[in-house]
Amino acid sequence: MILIKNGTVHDGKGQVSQNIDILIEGTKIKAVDYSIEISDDVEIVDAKNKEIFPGFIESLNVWGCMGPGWEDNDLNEHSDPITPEMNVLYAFDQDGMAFQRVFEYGVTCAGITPTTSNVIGGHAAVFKTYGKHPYEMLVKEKAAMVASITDATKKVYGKRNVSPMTKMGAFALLKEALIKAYNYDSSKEEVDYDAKCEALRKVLNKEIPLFINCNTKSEMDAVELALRDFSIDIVFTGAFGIDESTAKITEKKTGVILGDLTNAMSYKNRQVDFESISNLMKKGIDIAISSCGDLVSSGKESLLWNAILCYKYGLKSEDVVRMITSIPAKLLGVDDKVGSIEAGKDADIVIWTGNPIETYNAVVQGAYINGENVLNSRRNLSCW
Amino acid sequence: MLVIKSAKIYTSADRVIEKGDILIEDGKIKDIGTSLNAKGAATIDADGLIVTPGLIDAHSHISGFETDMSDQDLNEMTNNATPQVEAIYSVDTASKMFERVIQSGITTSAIAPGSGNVVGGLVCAVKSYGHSIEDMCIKNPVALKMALGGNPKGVYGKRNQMPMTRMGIAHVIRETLIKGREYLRKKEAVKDDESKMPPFDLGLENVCRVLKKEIPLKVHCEQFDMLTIISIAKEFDVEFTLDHAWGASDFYDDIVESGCKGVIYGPIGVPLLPGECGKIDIYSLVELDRRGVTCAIMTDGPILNPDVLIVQAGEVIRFGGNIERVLNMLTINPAKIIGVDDRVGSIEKGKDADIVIFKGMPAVDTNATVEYTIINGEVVYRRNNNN
Repeated sequence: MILIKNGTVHDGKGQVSQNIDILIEGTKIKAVDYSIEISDDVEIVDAKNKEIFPGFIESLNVWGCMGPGWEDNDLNEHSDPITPEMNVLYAFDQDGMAFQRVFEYGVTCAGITPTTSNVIGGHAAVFKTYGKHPYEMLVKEKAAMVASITDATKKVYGKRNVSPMTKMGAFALLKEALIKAYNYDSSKEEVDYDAKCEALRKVLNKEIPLFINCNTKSEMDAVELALRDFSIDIVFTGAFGIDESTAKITEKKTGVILGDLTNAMSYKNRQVDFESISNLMKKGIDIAISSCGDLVSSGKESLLWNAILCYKYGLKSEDVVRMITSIPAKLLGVDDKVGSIEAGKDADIVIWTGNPIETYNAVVQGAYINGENVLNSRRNLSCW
Repeated sequence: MLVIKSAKIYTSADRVIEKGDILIEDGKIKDIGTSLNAKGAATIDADGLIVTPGLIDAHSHISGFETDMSDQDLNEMTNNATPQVEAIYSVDTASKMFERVIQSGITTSAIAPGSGNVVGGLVCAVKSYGHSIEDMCIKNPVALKMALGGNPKGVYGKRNQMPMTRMGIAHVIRETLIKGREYLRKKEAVKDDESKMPPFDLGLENVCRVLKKEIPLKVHCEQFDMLTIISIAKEFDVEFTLDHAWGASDFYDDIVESGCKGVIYGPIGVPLLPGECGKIDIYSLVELDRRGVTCAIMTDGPILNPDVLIVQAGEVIRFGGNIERVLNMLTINPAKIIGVDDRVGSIEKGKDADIVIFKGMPAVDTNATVEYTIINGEVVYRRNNNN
């Protein structure tokens, strides 16, 4: 057992408390309280004057599925713009993930996504960011179905003179696939097995959300217009153009995962309206911060940098913490395990020397994943 | 006349003034001090605010590259060595990217050809504000761009042309410099007999500028590639800068002993991959700076959003950098490296009035924001108070 004593604990849900003890037993948090007394054999970690956060959660990234070369990856099944049957689990290399050492910047969990250049790309999954076995690192398989209607899709297929060559082409493919899946009834004997429909049934049954990549407000509005007759859970990703009137987002409580703000001086990431985001948060809309771009992988610093920029542009510090902990956990459907410091949750806890959202004078002093401090873990010395 | 009153001033000239004034006249800094007499001058009350020199990005491609590379005017990839081309002709002065860098406090950028070629062309230094390229450009050329590693290999190797390997790259660089040396020798041997003049070669003219140490080589290099340029620069006795410089922490002694003109580090925030991107170590700037190497930080714009120039400086603070030293890496150091420190890079009498006023301490407070950007004494950006 490990007892982290007297830290300032940010629970990931908006609360900050001082002089708190956290007791870890095995891979789980056993207790969070003032002055936990324990007589057993316990390792004491003094966290006085330290800031303790839940491990940060990157909503969508491609770590572990890229490389070894810049051009190499196992995410782009660009043989067809509609590939809902793809499962990113089979693309994930634990060494490629561990090599990133993102836990050095407090990131302990990540949603990993297949291509966002297909109209429907396949299943995303959630992994811990350190481990020796991919299936042991897996937190949730098939956490979301990933889709996109941005120009990334037409850039792949338009060139081949194959649909989508336009945005309307992408929408037609998306609607057609969903309607086909809606009409698909595998219980009838005469119906042939269709892997795409099977996969999309889970979205239509609300077993998993549809993560749909959109950059602008008009793209989000168009998605709402195109899919309003389907009863599905939508999460907008990218979503740079979001504002309070976007796609009736407040009525439907649609989730949002903001795309990367640090890379590339583009029209996309220039349009972010932080005041609207703040107001939407007050109305209870789940908005997560990520460092995901269109398959542009980011570094270990990138999630924190995005959080810092959101803070700099006016979001409240503890809201920003929620946006990289409990909110992405909820959107990815793993909030039963990770995203907050509470008894019963996985012991994914990071001890910082300062509050990294508010000052650059903050380094990670301990990074616990499943109760193990991995900060000084063996560096990967294979070809990775 | 404009006066900035009661600011905490980081001059980047070995001086921090706790509460000082800056008097600006005719685009220049006229005076710095406390309680300056500034009758009739427009006043910016900067009480409680932080003032630094305008930030300088010593390695950028803004306005010459579209963010998604759908259009570009900085990689003339028709030959592995194009010393004859000049970035100054590809600068789109109306680009929105200049507005964005101004909002982040960047007042001068060195705009360089890309890394598609081994020898890319001439680099120029431009201010972020002005009405024409002549208005904006403060020095041309400031360097001759070169690139090692995966970029030129990727371009030419695919075409079954040299360079397909790092050996090929080293050869192209050496051959370019040898040809330049021959050309220079022939020109110098002419003396009064014009008939002996070698045929004019625009590219080799530019190589001669390097050989005569009028300008340095600006070299894209990572990991062990930096040793290649260190040894070639020594062989030909030319000046150079190490740009990007990921992996510098493996070669502290080599870099320090090389006498390079500077290390321009960045961009970080990239995934780690075996090879060129295997080691990203911005903390190496703390040690290099301590050992006397002139260090700067780049955005490689438009690769990184310009706000991330200061974010990266914050990363140097995170790993133990001293704030004054780190601010130098954004101001006077890049000015020295690109040879414009006679005009910009510090707050001193007589220099261009390129100044940034921050609320909060940049590179320490994550929420420090640019309140004013001033270029040539003109307020070119003022933060909207509603934001």
